[in-house]
Amino acid sequence: MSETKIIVNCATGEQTIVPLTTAELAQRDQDAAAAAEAQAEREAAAEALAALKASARAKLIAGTPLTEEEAAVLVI
Amino acid sequence: MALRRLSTSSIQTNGKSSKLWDQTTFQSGMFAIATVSLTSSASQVIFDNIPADYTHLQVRIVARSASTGGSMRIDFNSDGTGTNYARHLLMGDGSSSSSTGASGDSATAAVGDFPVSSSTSNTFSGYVIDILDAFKTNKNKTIRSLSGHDLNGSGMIQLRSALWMSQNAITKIRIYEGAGSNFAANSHFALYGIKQG
Repeated sequence: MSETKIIVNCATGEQTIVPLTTAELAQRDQDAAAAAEAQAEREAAAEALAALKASARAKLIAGTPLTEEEAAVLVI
Repeated sequence: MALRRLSTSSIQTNGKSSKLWDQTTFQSGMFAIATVSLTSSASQVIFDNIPADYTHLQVRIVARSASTGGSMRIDFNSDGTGTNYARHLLMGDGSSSSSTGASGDSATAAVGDFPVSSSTSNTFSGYVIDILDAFKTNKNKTIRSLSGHDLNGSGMIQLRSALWMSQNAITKIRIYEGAGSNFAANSHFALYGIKQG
């Protein structure tokens, strides 16, 4: 993976390819970690919602009482 | 520069003149400032020393990620670590739609998603990003982004807006991927200036 940035001087049109600085590399690592964490949270939330819906549907079909949370995902 | 020429009749009538084009100066329109085409992957594209000759700026992008991250980010004038940006999103993927937003909690403007390395090969996302009143020093800056991509069976379209809470004139635009990935080769970035007469 090339860790470079392309800088365009719009006044002159000159383009230079510059390696990322140590600070920029560290920021990239932080960004990657934060993105991975956010993605994991989104996936966990989606899985929890799907499980809640499945449980609500099953209880509805079986005629058993739904929890407040289960009712909320079925009724808008 | 607009030229003004007095005719014989205008001198005689003391009030008539006509505005003529000098055939050199463009008063209004859209002008290409700079273009970057990646021949190999790169982490960031930076437009620096942007001339303040325009009313608005427009960035057009065709992009794909070289790895797993596919979130397009923009920041201005090296302001990329605070909480000076707000963002809003409307999106649809053909089967569902969603919206979200956040204010004052972001170090950059998120302007759209694009295909990652595991997406359908040779698919890229297209962007048109308007940066309004980019050089006005009496207002914060607003950004409007329309983007989308088709992955032969899936895809999405996004309409985003963002705010940079700074009244500084924009001199520098940094474009990068928000999860630390690189832009793939053949990604393309073009900056235009828009002049209003």
